Amino acid sequence: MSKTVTILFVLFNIVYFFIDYVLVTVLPNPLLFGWLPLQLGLLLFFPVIAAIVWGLYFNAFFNTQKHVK
Amino acid sequence: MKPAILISLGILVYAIFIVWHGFRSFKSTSESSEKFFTADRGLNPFVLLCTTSISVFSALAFYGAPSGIYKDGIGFYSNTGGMVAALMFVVVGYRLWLLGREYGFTTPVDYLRSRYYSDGYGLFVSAFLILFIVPYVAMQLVAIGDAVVVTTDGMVPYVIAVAVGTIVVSLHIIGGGMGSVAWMDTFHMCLGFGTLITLIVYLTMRYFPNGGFAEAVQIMQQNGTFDILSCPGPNGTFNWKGMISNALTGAIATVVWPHIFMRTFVASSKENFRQMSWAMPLSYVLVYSPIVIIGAILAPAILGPGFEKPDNIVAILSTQYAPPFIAFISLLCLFAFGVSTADSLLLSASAMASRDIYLHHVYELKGKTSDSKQVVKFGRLVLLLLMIITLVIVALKPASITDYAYKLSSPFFAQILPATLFGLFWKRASKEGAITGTVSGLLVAIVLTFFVKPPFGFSALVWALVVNTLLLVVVSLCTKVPEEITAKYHTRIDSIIYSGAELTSLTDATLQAVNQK
Repeated sequence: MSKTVTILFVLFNIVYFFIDYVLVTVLPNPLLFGWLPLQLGLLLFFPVIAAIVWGLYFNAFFNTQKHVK
Repeated sequence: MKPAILISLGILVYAIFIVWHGFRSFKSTSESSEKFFTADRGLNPFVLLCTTSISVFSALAFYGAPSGIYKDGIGFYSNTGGMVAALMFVVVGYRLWLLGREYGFTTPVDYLRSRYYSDGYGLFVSAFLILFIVPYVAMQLVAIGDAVVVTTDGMVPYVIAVAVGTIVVSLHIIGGGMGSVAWMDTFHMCLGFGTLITLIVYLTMRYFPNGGFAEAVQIMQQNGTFDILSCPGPNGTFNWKGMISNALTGAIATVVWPHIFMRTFVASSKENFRQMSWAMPLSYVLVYSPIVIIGAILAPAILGPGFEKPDNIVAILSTQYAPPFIAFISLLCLFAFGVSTADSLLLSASAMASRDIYLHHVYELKGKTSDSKQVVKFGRLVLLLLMIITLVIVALKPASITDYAYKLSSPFFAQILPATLFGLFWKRASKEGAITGTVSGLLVAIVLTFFVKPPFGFSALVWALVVNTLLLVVVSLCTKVPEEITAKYHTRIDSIIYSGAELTSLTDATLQAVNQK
């Protein structure tokens, strides 16, 4: 794994958890699609983006672990 | 026939199925402690995903989370911590899995005792983990007992319900060990998800036929419950401090809950961790989204504000606002969530009592030999004993579900988090540091939970972990770690991960040695 990729991964997680734990509590809360408040939408569906990023990163990481049987 | 009778019969059939499933493999699991406690380290990725996820989703998730959201708003969802448990499971779990393969670890105590080269520390950790597993298991059974009473309209009394629940869960583990628990968890995961979707679809189509969720939210704007859909919520609980405190309690520390910790050792290969990195957060989203929608939208819109017994909103919605079939499958869903957590925790308590206390202190330290069958027998005896203790506790039926679990068990399990993380990633972490940190963390958690209000709006757990971590670091900096520990737990594992060194066959040799004892 290159150092740049690892640093970007760490930065993504810092930003992601900051938004999910802290920023979401002070964001405006308009209704999306007539029923979904923005804060709830972020809490519910932002983790899908995290899952994609984590999946990509760890897929690359475990490609470096082929020697581990 | 009355619906309550049909539901009671359904519960009976389900209970018999669980016990039968456990005892199917009684004979084969009696042969080896490795098979009983770790399913021969052979769980495939899908089963590991289901058993890990649903073991975290307890009865608290199905009953407590909608009730918590109804009371304090959507911020309660921070108890999933942005699905951080998945990230932790891969980052921490892969190293623990390598250690398990290299040195034959089975339980959290195996690892902590060896990494911190202290039998006393191992004994202390196993004692307090076992001690605090019991209330958490009891909470699952209390929730099941309450729900059975509500769903059967009082036809099955509380005491009978919790007694049957406790005995069924215990017999299931006694019969089949980790293998049975994991496969039953997989069944429960599918059952739980299916039930949640059915419940939501029914309630939405029945009560909001003209606009679905939009209609429900409109009703919330009129009936004064709209604050539930925002942070910090109607009572101001979930500002950023509340969110972090809740995430720490419900998510960040889950990787060191004994039953989740043990699951890092039972993966069949590294591929499990590769797939867990994306599948685990997605499974959380899939299961938790319906739970949140029940607590945040459907319950407030249907029940209105100020519902007297918020702990029972799911039971009330499924029994009084839905037909008996929905009530029955909702009850099964609660069983799925409650039983999966209870059986996993009880198995981990049994593993620690038999492997870390009985085998290690009665045999290994005295240079005696014991056979693997004896360890399994002892583990099963411990399960029987825990079953009796749990029965007594659930009969006393303490306070509110959420408070009970969160205040007692979770903060105490979390006190091994710093020792686990620093033990994996910091060479300087020493025995003295780990002992000082863990003991002081426990003391702070006790004091701030029961005697003094935690300062500055953070929870007792946050302060306990801060003190625990600080003392671990400071004391470790003043003490020394033996070179062989650094070589075994850091140089060796780093060489496997970063330099392409292969796992040795120490695993097989170690496991064989343990099994032959």
